Amino acid sequence: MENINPEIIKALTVHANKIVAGSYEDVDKILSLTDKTENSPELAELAETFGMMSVKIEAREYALEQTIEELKKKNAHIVALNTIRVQLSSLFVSIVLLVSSYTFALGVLASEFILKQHFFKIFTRYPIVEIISVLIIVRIMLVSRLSLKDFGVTFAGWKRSVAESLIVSTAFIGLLALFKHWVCVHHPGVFKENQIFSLSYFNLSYVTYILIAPLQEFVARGVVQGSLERLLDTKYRGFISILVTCFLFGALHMAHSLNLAVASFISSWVWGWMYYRQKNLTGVSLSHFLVGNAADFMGYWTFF
Amino acid sequence: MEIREEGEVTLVLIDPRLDSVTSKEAEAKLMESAGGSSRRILCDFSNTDYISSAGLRVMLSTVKKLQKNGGKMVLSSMKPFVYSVFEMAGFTQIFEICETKAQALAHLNRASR
Repeated sequence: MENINPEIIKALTVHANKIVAGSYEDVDKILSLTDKTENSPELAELAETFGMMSVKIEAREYALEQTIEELKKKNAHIVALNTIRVQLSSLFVSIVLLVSSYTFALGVLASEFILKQHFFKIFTRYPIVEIISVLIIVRIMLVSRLSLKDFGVTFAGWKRSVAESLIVSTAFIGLLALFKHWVCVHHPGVFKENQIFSLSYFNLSYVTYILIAPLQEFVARGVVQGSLERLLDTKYRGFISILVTCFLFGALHMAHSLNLAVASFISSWVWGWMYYRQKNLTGVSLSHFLVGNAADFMGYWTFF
Repeated sequence: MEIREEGEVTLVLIDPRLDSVTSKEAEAKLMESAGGSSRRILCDFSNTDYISSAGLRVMLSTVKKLQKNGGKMVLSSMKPFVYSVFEMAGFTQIFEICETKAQALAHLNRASR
């Protein structure tokens, strides 16, 4: 150690202190002292020891940074999973409430005895079921903390949606017209008239349907189907979300008639599939409006 | 230090000595590879008999750069002394070290899928 220049020892100490303080900028300066061709073997050995210590500390810090980064990612994943759990449980509770309250309302509507009681007349005088449905939908939306765009209220991709909607609706209406034609030929008298379309059915509901159709689509496709598709963790989440929504959409029409419930269940598959593709309410609302009104002009609503 | 491409992997044959004298050149070459398009590097230590703290720092800087770029590095074929230096410095927790080059290649190819 006698051959070591005190200035070099001082420099080594300064570099080492910087490393202790967390700065690795001077590590290279220490490492340059490990060259035995330029420095004495003792100094090179000492510098190598310092170098090894600093590299070890740097490696340990790097490993810790990696671990912290990994933990942060896992934590974010856990937070995301918990959000999904909360939303899914809320959706479950909301749908159970909706179906249960609706079933009770149907029971009330079907019971002459209960309807004689003054209080229960509110079920026939006011749209109680609709109000309950809206409240439950609002609850789902508030719990999810998502924007209206996430529930399909967006014009993004509307051109493609409208084009697809017109094609699908035309095909759907064509099938309904063919079916009516077949019924009129083979079972005359089922429909009041033999022509495919009849303007005699026109009333104000054709106009108000322009509001009703998007509203129903918002509830069924935007809120229920969209939420299920987003929250379900399965390969078949698209199919399952459409299936559940079809049953729910069909069942909610049961108050009118079984025929309307079945028709709603069937048409819901078409609109469910469209929404699954388009993720906005433009196309499905337009199709619902067109097909619903066309079915009415063809006289199908007389069976509902 | 020899560098060649083998499929999507950059194969680096480390010099017999990786110390303060050779580390500058090694660092420049490895950094260039780490910034390249393949970003999957296999460091073959089969020729390496000695590695100093300067050499270890080169390896650490390379893996840091690769990690930032989303790349991967695997080391292979270390002689017992070199492995013991890596172990002592705590580098065996940071690097994936395979016994043979074939194993390392398979590991990198699996990671790329």
